[in-house]
Amino acid sequence: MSTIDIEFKNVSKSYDGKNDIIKGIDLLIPSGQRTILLGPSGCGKTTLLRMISGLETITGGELWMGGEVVNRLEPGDRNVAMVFQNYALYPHMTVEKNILFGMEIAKIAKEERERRLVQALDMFGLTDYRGCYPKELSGGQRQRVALCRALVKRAPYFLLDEPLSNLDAQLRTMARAELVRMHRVYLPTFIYVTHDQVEAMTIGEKIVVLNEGKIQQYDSPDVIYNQPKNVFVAKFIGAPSMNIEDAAVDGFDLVVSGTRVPIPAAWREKIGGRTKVKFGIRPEHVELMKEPAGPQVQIHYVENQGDKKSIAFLLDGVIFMATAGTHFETQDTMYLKMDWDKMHIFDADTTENVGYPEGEDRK
Amino acid sequence: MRIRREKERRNIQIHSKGEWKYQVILIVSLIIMMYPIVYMIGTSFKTLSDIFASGLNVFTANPTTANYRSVFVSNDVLRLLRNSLIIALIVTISKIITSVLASYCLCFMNLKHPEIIFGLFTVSMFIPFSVIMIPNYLTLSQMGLNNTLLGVALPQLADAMGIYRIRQSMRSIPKPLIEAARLDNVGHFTILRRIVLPLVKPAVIAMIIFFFINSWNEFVWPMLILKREELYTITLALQTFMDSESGSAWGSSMALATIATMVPMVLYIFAQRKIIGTFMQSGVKE
Repeated sequence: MSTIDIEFKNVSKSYDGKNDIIKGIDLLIPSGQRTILLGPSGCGKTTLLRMISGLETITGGELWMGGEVVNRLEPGDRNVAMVFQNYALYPHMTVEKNILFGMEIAKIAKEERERRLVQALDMFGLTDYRGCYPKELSGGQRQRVALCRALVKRAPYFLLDEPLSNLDAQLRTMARAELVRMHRVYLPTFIYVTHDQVEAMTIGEKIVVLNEGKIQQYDSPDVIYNQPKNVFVAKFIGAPSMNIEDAAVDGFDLVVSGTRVPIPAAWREKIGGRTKVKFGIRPEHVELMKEPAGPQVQIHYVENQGDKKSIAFLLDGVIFMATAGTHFETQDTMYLKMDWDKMHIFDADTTENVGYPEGEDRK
Repeated sequence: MRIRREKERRNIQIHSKGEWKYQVILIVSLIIMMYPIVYMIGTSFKTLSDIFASGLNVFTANPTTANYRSVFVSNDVLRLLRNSLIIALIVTISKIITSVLASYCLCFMNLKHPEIIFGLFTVSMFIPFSVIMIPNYLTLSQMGLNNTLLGVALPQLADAMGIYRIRQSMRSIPKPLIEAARLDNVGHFTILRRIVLPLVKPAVIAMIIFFFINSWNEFVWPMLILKREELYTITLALQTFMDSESGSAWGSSMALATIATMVPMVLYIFAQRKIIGTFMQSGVKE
């Protein structure tokens, strides 16, 4: 373990001494990587980030940073830079003063302060706004000032708490690229909180999926998308989200909403003796045909998303989702053709993924 | 900068259009409030016979500065002003410091139960002055501070009103602002000085005016403590013109009252400019 890794050892947090918001987290965040804390609101991701910054106390377990336990270390002594959701720019200071303030406190030499300021402003195209007050800037500019302010600190840990959530969609895409570019230049340990899975997939090198104060899965975006560890991760990642339906195992067949399909030989071992499972398949692996090539389905509604169409259809009264190209024409009744090799099988009780057959290419 | 001013000017114009009814109400209430003050100033330039002859008329055909001259002869006006000023400054500065520090602690430090502490502060606002007047007097006498300016100031070094008002203003500062500073290892006093105070400046200035005027106008408490004439404040001196035996010197009384009013007035005009300046410079809301 490198000395500037961050490690959570059975860390928990409780506000009232009874209910844990964070339930015994074990997590190693390697230095220099972009790690995303992803989850729905209330899952504890921001709490986790604030624990690293020291703004939130830890009620159980140990947090290691830079080779020492930091549980009792003041925020100012942890050497972290943070970008807040609402940017937290000082409203009575100009852009320049906002960025210089922290360095002034840290007693960094004047020339060095100026050098970092100019460099940061230049990097984010803010040179012309040096003398402006935050209220004179647009949301995107404020967000970039907040990034500059965190950046000039040159801290080894860079914490971001949903920094893009207040930007409109177009700006967000640009800002995402900017963030990744900035990370490549300075390579700090980058910990980024978001509830937006697209953001997580595009920015993250590693994603920690959280729900109800527990880590659901910690892996690369690829693995998280293609091999979700449980039903929660499977449904949370991907838009439209994965189709998940109860299924029964009947001999060598799988029965999903009245449709009976033979289980591929490679899968039988994974399913084992289970008679009930949860069957999952991503919408892009579901195909709808005009020719009767499979079970009949009724089209429920179609959403045009510009680059693709999301199609909701009914299979024996149960809604499934499929995606198709924008030129795809639908009719009321169509026929279903699923890419069965691409299916996911979860345990019916634990909702854990049963695994995938050996040698299967899951991409 | 110029564009912004232009915009603000235009907003004001839009507001005033069609709202003349409100303007009338404002002007009428202004006249009602200003009349006694104008009357006071007018009377200070009248002879005693003129005062009784002119009734409610503010102006006089033969203005005189005799009242002012007599006030300066019979009283050491500068000493009166100095005494009042010493008390008002001690009280105001001390109240502001205690209010700001207490509010900062209540808002930004990890206290166990800030709302209970704050509740106790506010309870003190509901105790009438007349209830604590005698106990305070006895305590100060025991301390040997009877007949001293410090004795007047001592029981007023902190004020729950200030804590209430300044805390209210500090609460509107977004928490992440303070957290961002804490991450930069900024100490509490620097946070207070560089971040919090500039943002609550209007409230602080308002409280300065409030405390100063309150102290300046105080009458009963200084009267209890100060018996030696050389310690008299200006409000105490005003009372000496009311004489049931030789008749009241109304003109001189009004002249001294006018002088007494000038000090808070100047402070107010000066501070008000500052408040407006602060509002234009920055808003706390993001």
